[in-house]
Amino acid sequence: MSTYIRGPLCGIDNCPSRLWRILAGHRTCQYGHVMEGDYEFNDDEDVGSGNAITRRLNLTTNATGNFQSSISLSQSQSILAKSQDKKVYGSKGRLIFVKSFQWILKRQSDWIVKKTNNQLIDRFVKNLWMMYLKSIDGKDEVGLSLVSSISILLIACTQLHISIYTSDFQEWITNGDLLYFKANEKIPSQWRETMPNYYLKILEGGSVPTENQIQNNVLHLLDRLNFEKYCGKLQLSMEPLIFKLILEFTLPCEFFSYVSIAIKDRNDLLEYENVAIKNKVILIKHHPEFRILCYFYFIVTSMLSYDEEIYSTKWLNRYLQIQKDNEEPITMRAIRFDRDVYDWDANDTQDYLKWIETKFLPMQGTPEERKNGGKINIDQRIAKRKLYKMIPIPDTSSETSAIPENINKENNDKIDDENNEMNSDRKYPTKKKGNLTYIGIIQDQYLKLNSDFLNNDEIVSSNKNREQIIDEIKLLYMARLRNQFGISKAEFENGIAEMEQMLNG
Amino acid sequence: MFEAPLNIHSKVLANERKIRYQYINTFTKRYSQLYGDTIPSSSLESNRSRTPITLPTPEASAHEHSDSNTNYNDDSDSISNTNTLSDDEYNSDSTGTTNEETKFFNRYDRPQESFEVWNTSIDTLNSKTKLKSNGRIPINRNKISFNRLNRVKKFTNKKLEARLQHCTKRLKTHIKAISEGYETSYRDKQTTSFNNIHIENLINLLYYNICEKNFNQAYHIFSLIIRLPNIDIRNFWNLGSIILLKKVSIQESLNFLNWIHSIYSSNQKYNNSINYKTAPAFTQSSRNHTGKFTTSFLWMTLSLIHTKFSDLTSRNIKEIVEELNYLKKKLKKFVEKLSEMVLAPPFIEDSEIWYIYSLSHLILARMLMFETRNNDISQTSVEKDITKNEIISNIQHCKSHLQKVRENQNDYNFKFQKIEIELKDMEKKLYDTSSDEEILNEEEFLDNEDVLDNEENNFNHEINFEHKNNQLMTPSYDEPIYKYNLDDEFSGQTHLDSENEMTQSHFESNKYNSSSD
Repeated sequence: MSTYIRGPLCGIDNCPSRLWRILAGHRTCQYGHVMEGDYEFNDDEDVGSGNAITRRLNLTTNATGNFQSSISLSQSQSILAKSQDKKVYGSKGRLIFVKSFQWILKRQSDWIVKKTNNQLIDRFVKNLWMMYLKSIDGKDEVGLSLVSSISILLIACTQLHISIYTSDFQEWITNGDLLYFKANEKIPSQWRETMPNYYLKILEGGSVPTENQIQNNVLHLLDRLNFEKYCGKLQLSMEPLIFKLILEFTLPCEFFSYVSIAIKDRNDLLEYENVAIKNKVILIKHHPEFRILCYFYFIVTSMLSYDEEIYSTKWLNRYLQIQKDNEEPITMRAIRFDRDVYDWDANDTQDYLKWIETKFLPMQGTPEERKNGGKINIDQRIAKRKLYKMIPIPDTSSETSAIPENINKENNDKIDDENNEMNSDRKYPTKKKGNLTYIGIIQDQYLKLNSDFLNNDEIVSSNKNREQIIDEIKLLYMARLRNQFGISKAEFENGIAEMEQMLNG
Repeated sequence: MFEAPLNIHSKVLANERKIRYQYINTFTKRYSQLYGDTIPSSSLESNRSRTPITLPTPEASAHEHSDSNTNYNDDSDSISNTNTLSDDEYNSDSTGTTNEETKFFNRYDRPQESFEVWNTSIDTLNSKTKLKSNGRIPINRNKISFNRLNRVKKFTNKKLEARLQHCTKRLKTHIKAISEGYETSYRDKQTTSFNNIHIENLINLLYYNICEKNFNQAYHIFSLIIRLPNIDIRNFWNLGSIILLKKVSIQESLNFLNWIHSIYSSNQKYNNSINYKTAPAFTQSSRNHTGKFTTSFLWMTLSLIHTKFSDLTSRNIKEIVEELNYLKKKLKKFVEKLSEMVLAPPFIEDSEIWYIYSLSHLILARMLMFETRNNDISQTSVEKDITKNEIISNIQHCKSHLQKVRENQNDYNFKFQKIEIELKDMEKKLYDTSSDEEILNEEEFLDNEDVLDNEENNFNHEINFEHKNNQLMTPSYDEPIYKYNLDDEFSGQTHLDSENEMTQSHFESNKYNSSSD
């Protein structure tokens, strides 16, 4: 029994058959109608004698139901090879890479300028970039990664004393506001097609910078640019950072002076130290921002555990509770090293899905853009479209359970638009918090901390002793600081140990 | 926690596979060189037409592997005639352009046959094996003596030494471990890539929400996941179908299954040299392997029609004429589709498809039967004759398809007895009623309904057991979801009952199976 192949509708005398087979060289449908103008020659005798080699095309159907010959392996490879031909290697490829990097850097700095309303950043970033270009002039290696772009922006902000720190960048790139992940999808398609794949991969972003990458890169970049020679030592302004941390952790205001006095006492100028390119970076020695984190962590935790009169066990217990409730934005939590989606509640999940829909999906580039990679053919695209039509993304605002919250959110957005843009960005997802802005949330938290302390009845009784609570607070601080600043565990622990020695000795 | 449906293809993995398959191939070849004729698998072959070759997984240790795999395919090339090859010739062969993995899979008619089969049912074990009566060891495998094993192993290790010289330390350890029969876990590394972190989160959330029966949320997540690039839907279509079933409707779920069936059913022969970078072959249909989504789709469609029909039987005939006609039309369409499908491989050889085909004819015959018995006032005698002929032809079809199932049957015992009894019963009634059709009374009708009820349970039970059985042959992620709740669609008391019975019969299925044949 010869097997049938699916093909176009026969249609002769309204014949419904879509199945065809070859009978005596004619393509014949299931009910015996012969397709006109279609012959296939396959002389069996030739095959037997071994003189002639006949090649048979395997016929399949495409999405519209017409015949197409399925491409054999060798043919498909040659087609692939053709599309690969566009790639440019060597110095030309490098040039395109540097151009693309510049393009990305420009977008990033534009975004920061818009955010801060400070035109100077753009000019300073340009200067730094020109310095960098000079440093690689005539060399073979480029030494750029997307982290370098963050470093350049960070250096510019620090030099101009704009209160933007590593944690801000970390947050912006993880929630997709700042162009970083999948930046290769956004560059002009002509460059993307011609750039070698290893450069494309660099521009993809890869993993979240968690292991001191940004800090290390900043230090190496300073050395590479010979920054000290042109601009003097790069100095960090500490007050905004300390203030930011104090607010982040809802600490009483006296901690601000504790930390800043301690730093001033040490005569710490908070300068970025020079590290020769090949040398190993020791963050505590070279990186002032990291030093401030260590000061902060050490002083706050020791003060909390030391002063039993002001920070009583009950107070600490309450404080810990508030800190646990006051969680980071969902996008930051989603990439934590100890993330566990089973801890998320319904609101978290909803926020997360909303983020995925509005930010993460567009980040991937549209299917139309991706077709340039040559990976998707027309059939697959039609199939995909069918699938998407079958399973549309549901409109979450229509879901009954979410209605009251969504109304709140909309109101929030309106309020935020009127407010300072910076504020609206720092705002946490306003779950269970009603119509509160960033400042409102902070007020709310401080109020909670104090009012509950005064009102003894409401304190949640806990059988943990003081040390356990302190330990828990320490862990919470450690995890959050590490996540926000992208610092490795080993480095942070080292730094704190050294800080302890330094302050004691 | 859960495996992300990503196509992971790194150089490290590709290298690992290359060496692993080379090891297995070398080992097998050496074994057949030395003791090729001693393997008793040919006797196994003669017993059944399509014996599933009992083999360990390629992931398991290689020495177990050589036990019974001299069953070369007819179209397998040079491998079977290597008995006389000297070492030098061997070298030239292995360094050739042929892919070791392709070579390995060339030995099997279907890729899933390279998996180890655990025969849990005792009577499917070959009667020639020694563990006839006590049946303590359910694994059907042959033996290799320790001495022989060592000899072959030594040779293989020597052969691979040169190759392993250029590998990483990690790969060396891994190969050594699996050749000794251990397992290594090399996916312990935490995901760091930004994209994969989010995909992982989404997949975890998806499973979590399905477990919590939060299908609205699950649907949302699913709709987002499928839009991400590099996601392979073949690895989690089962989740999609259950979500659609619960959240939207059974029809939508069927549409989805139909979609995946039309996209991933290929007429091509499974060729590992092309497919090796993508997901395993079982997630896709090929020329010699029916995709699980296809069978799920067919079973689900058929059972939907059947449940709707048996819903109707309890109601007054005058109310349901239109619905019955609609169902009949639907079923006829379904039969037509099947008749097209079975013309080409892999369905032409798949006993399960033929079984479904015959069942659909059976149900069609039942429908027509029901119609003629209850609707005789409105029909003229000519119409009656036409219907009668239709019933007869359906019965004939059912019989011939069952014959096909018998021909292609491999490892699963389909239950023919009940169906055949019913067919005979139908035929008898058909010829009886021709003489005294007016006498058909209420009592007989009730009798008939009783049969239907029984049959329905039997049918559900069939589905259930089918599902269980397939687990043995295919990896678990490929598992279809048959156990859905039809009450969402039709809220009838009868179904609640029948479902209880269904689960009950599910538990007894083993017992039932052994006694029925």
